Amino acid sequence: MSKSLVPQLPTGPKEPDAKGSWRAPTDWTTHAMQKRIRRRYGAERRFRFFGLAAVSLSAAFLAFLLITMVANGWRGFTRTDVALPIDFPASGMLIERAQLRTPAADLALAGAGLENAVKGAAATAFGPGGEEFISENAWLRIRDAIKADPSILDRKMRIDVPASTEIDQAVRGDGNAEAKATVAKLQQAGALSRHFNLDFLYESDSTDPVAVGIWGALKGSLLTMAVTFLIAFPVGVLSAIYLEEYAPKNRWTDLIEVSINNLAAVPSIIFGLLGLAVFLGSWNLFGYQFGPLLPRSAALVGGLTLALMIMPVIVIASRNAVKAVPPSIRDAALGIGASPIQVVFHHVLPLAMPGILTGTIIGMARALGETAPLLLIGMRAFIVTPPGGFTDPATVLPVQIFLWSDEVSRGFVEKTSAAIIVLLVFLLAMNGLAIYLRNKFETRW
Amino acid sequence: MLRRTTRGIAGVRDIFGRLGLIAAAAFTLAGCDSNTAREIRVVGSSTVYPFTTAVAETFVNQGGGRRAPVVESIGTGAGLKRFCEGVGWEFPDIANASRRIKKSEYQLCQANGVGEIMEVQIGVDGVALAEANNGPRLRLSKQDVYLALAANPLGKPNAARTWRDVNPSLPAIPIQVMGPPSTSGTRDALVELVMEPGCAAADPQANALKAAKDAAPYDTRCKRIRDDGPYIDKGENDNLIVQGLAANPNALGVFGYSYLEENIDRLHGVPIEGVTPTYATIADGTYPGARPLFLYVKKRHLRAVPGLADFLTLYTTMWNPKGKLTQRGLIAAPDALRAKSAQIVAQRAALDPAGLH
Amino acid sequence: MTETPHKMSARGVSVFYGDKQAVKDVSIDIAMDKVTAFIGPSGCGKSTFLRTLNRMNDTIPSARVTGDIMLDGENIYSSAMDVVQLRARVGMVFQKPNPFPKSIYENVAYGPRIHGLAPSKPDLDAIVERSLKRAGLWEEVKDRLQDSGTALSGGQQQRLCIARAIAVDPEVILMDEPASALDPIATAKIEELIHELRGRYAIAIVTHNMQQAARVSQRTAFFHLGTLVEYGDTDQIFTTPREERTKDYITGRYG
Repeated sequence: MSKSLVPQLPTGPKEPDAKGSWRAPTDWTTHAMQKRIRRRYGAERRFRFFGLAAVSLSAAFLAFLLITMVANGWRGFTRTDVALPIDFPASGMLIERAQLRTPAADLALAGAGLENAVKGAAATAFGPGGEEFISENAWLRIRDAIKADPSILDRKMRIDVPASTEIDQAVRGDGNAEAKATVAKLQQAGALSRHFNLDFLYESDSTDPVAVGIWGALKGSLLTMAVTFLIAFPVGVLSAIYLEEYAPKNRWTDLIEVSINNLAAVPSIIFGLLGLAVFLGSWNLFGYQFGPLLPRSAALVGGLTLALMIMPVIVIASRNAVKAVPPSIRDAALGIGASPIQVVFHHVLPLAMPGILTGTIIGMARALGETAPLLLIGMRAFIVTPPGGFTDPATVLPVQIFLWSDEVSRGFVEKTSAAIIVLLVFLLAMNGLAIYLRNKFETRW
Repeated sequence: MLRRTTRGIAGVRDIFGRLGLIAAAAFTLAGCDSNTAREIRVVGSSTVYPFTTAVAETFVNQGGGRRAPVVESIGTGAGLKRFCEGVGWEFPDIANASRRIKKSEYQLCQANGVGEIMEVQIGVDGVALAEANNGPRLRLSKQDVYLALAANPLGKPNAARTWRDVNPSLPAIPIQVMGPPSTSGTRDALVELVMEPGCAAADPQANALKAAKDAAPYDTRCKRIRDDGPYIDKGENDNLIVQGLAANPNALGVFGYSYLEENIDRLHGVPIEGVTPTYATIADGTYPGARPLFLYVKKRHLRAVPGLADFLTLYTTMWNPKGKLTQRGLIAAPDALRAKSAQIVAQRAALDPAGLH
Repeated sequence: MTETPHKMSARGVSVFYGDKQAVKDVSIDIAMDKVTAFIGPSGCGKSTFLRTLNRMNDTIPSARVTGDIMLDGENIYSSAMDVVQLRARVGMVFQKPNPFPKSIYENVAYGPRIHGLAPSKPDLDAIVERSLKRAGLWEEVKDRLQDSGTALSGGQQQRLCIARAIAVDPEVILMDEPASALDPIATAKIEELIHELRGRYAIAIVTHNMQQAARVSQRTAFFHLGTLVEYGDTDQIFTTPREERTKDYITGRYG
């Protein structure tokens, strides 16, 4: 091979340009420069201070909210009990022992006059008017005790039953003089006891604030959130993938993008109206009456309505997350012969997942706290038992709080605050789960 | 020979398949459940709501695996409208009402094929005007209330700003009355029981206008409540009114007697025509704001909804003067009226629309 | 010089981005057992033309390709050709190393897995080992196959990308400036690797480093402003170029 024509690199430094001389070096130590440096340091310090102040302010608001809620609501988790002496043999109730083990036990006990017997026992123990001291649902506690151990029907017992709302309030120092006198009397007799109870988390809605619980609403929230997630997440993520990866960039897709952005800003009550019209409305089509698709107040309807509401949020966050995946990954995957679906699901989606999950967290948190659209579709009713399935009537935590805040009895005030605490804990738990999942995805790949 | 060993795609397809099955199952079940037996559904008045919910709770606690009735509080007017939308599984069985059903509402029911309905009076309630215990201790007549709250008393826009403007014997404190919105039966009762008689007393033309064919002038003069400030619409939440009174002792509040009774340590009732709202005065009707409370029931649903008849029977046992509902603030109807209502339930007697207006 | 059969042939290929024409009427052959180098100043269309050979330009919506490109006599732009399989047969190594953010093993195993080339785990293991050995990376990573591919040095990452491309057993390997982001030692290793791969795969390499082109290739094509100016044996291009523009470029007058 003859010598290559490719030139070698030149050696030696370049000579200075014939035209100008070298520029004089900057003097960085002049007074003007020093002043610039001091101003810059000052600006940096001020900026750091403002940032810290902003964070502290937000933290202060959050702390204020939490402390107020806990202070108001922790008493909702306590209960005053009255020790009720009850003499079963002397009460004259006729109960067939065999029936107590069957599902008809409740009817049998109700039919045998258990409620009146309990009231009578209270009157005997505490004097005339004594039945006012115990809660109306106190007899249910006795009923459960009998079902658990039928042998107590042969004995005299002293059973702790929930006190009535008036006594409960008087114990906290909020009631009329008569109630407070009663409380003093009972406390002297050693009949009152207060303790922390978690029944608030197991019981459902009730008209008696002493017996009320959050479980019905909590289960309703869980079911509704499940439906919302199962519908909004796949549809939202797939829409985002299609719009980012497959859809051609033309006027129609621009229109879709603008529409989705606007939908994310629509007030939630509009979605309630939409849900009411679509899922609970009935139309006359070709002479045939299309009735409501779903029963009113069902968790399924609530979940569908909320899914419509948060889908735009998920789509926007997912699109941004997918857009942020570097094209080099896509090129690499395409280069070894991955099909478009494989590129998306094996490479793009796992890398975009943290961003997608963030958007989902935001959407779900918003859905959890929504009240207005659910009121329109009827999830605002008094329901004594928790929902059995997705089509049973249900209510959700924020609506339950709203309903209790309107109750006549004053005992509901602290129950409302206690319910707010439960809602906040639920929210934290949901966020915590989502953040855990996001971190898991981030480190895995 | 070349087997697909791809994992990811199969996994995703799997998930979609399962989701699809769940969705299909849910929708099928939804359609299934709704056409077979369902729980009792009640809508309507927020005044009757505490009583119906108490009965619903007792109904479930009696055992037997009964499905919990669903009780919604949306106001008497809205409740009767929904009640009269039709007959079938998606429509309510019972309407709570804090006033009698209107003729127009009854006609709407018939137009939508509801058929015969039962009217059951469950008790009495009083529309109470209340003030805080450290308030000005006003004593008002119906005419006073009319002149203070009407939008167009005697045909002219309302210029009264203090109670003295209305009646020289009253103190010169600004008129501030917090009350429910126009969807509330309590407000309807205030208008019917206090404002209209007050209008009849103050306005010589009132009776003639009422008898006229066009109801609009009468409504404008006698029934409309002012919206220029003195009457404050506090929404359906009566607890807000109670709180508002504690904060502003010079104000009056309008709500049902049960809220007054619950807060009797902080508030007291304002006497109207010299009669203070108490259990006794409302029960015997001497208090002008006394009004009956009703349930309206669709006879056609009695067969279709299991437990509906039992629910009504349970209601009749709870509304006695010594019954559970009284403890919640219900004022029992007079004995004869109660007996008649119980008979209506037992015999499923239908409402005669002749007496409605 | 004997004529070996051509693996890929391009005839009259032009590439348009919207209205702008980036490649004008290029006709070239890629021989089966030779390394073909594309040289030219920046922006002359050599990378664009390279990307037409495995239809990577399809991913750009405004790109349009006219002309014929044959792989073993089959037109790769015909509707009968499956793009996905084409890209398995014609592999690509990019300028900036881009391993998947997965383990080293997964990086290499991904291709065979999605194309169904390894019916069982031991087969897959064998393919991975073979590919890493051929890429000259096996000794360095055989004890840490589960480590992340992105934790390797630049040169190792590029060799991993080559191993990944080899794992699907392609017939042609396209390399778009594979060593331009690497240090001289890593570059030398890559060039050594190209030598070793030469017999097994047809290789087309784009490079702006003329010494590299002279070292590794047997055929060279010089591109300028979208046209193919000259194409011939590497020796001949670098010692006695026929075209004036080629001579100017090689002697450093421009570019």
